[in-house]
Amino acid sequence: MLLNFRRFHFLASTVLIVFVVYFQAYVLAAFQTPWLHVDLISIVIVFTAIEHFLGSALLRILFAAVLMQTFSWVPSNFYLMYFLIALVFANLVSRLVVLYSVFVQFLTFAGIFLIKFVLLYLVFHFSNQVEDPWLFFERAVPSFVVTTICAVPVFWFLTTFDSMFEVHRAQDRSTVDPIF
Amino acid sequence: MRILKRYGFAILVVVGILSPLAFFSSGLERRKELSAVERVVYYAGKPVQVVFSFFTETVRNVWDSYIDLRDAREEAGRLREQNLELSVRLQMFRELEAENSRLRQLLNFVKHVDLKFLSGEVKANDPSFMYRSVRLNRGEQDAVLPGMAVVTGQGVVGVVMRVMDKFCDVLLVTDPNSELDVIVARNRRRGIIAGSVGRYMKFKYSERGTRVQVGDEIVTSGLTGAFPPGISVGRVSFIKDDDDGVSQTIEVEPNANLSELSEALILLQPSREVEVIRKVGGNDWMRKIIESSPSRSGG
Repeated sequence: MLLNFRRFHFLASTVLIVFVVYFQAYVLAAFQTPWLHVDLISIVIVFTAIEHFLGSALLRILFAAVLMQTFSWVPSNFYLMYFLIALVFANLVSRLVVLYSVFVQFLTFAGIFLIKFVLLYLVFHFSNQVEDPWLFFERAVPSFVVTTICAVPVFWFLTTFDSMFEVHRAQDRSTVDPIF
Repeated sequence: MRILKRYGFAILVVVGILSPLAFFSSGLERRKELSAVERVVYYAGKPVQVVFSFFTETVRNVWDSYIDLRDAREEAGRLREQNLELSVRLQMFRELEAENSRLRQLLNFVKHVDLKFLSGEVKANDPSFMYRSVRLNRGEQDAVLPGMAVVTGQGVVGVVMRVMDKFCDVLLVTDPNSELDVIVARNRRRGIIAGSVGRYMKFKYSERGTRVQVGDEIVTSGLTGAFPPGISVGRVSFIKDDDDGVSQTIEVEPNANLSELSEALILLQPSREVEVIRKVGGNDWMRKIIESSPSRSGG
């Protein structure tokens, strides 16, 4: 099978997602302070949803969701649901507005991360585990703020990472049709 | 393929809208064993894990061994003194243990089972940042079973919930899904310690008339689960009378520093309930029971 640059890009970005999952579990989650709990995988998922073909993005996102599930004690299929919602929301936003403005990018990321915390709050609420909502917000707010702040620079980094493949893809004669 | 090209996004929107409904109506259960798909994905990602693990270990070793040595000399001195003191105490305790076992024999008490420990290193934490679980580098290969107790020198850490060949996931005692049968060390009154979303644990379902004071030590009861009696869980840090005038909110601060946990000891003694099920029904049946049981831990 010929490994053209599109396939290579697919492989490289899948490895990047796996790397980010491990980085989040091995390094970021080990920090004591919640101000370093950057939800990198959410940023990568939103980037993948916006910038990549729907089919290949869906495959990678499902893979990431299952991998995250193996690490976490969230209820089964939580990440599947959250990443699917993030994929739909990010795609809808990218179809409605142009994401070149930093402010729009910032708002898009903030909206999607907010969805995550709303879903987590609902999970805790339905499991009768939130006696005092303030305690939940105390833990969630630092992670939400720091992830939103880091989202735009990480988005730029990922765009640069992708553009490396674009340069090579232009030289690549063999092409593969997108899945969808 | 043409249908997917044309309606792919519409289908995805419908799936995206329906997924929360399906998720929240599923009962929010947690699988205590990885599913077949999860196993495949886990093994597919393993080469990256090996590389990543090697890299982080190397960086951590270099940092700990060559760079972060600021207070090493003072710490070594302090540990030497502590070691001397503990050696003397150990000798005293050996004497007491021998005396205790002689007296127990005289009274025909049941002999305590010798506990076996297995140390494990913390390799990963829960990446959701909201739940509290850690992954230790010990698994089925090391005879680790679900339900086994995990402790440190300071006290209780949690319960082994999920075991794979080379790792196990431990649900920390501070996680909202964790519940532990305990007693107040001062008056031997029984209750349940439950994890919460906040920093502290909650002391619940205490016996009628239990008087708890700030500073009271909470220890394991040893009546259920795999924990032997008397292992420290934490200290009462805050008591507030609830609005109903009947109940109290009692917060307990864990003794073990769980946020900076790097190593822990697994007690190689299976949970009493799990062991009974295993003896009666066999390993396969036990797996099914564990899989279908509620997701809360019980120690």
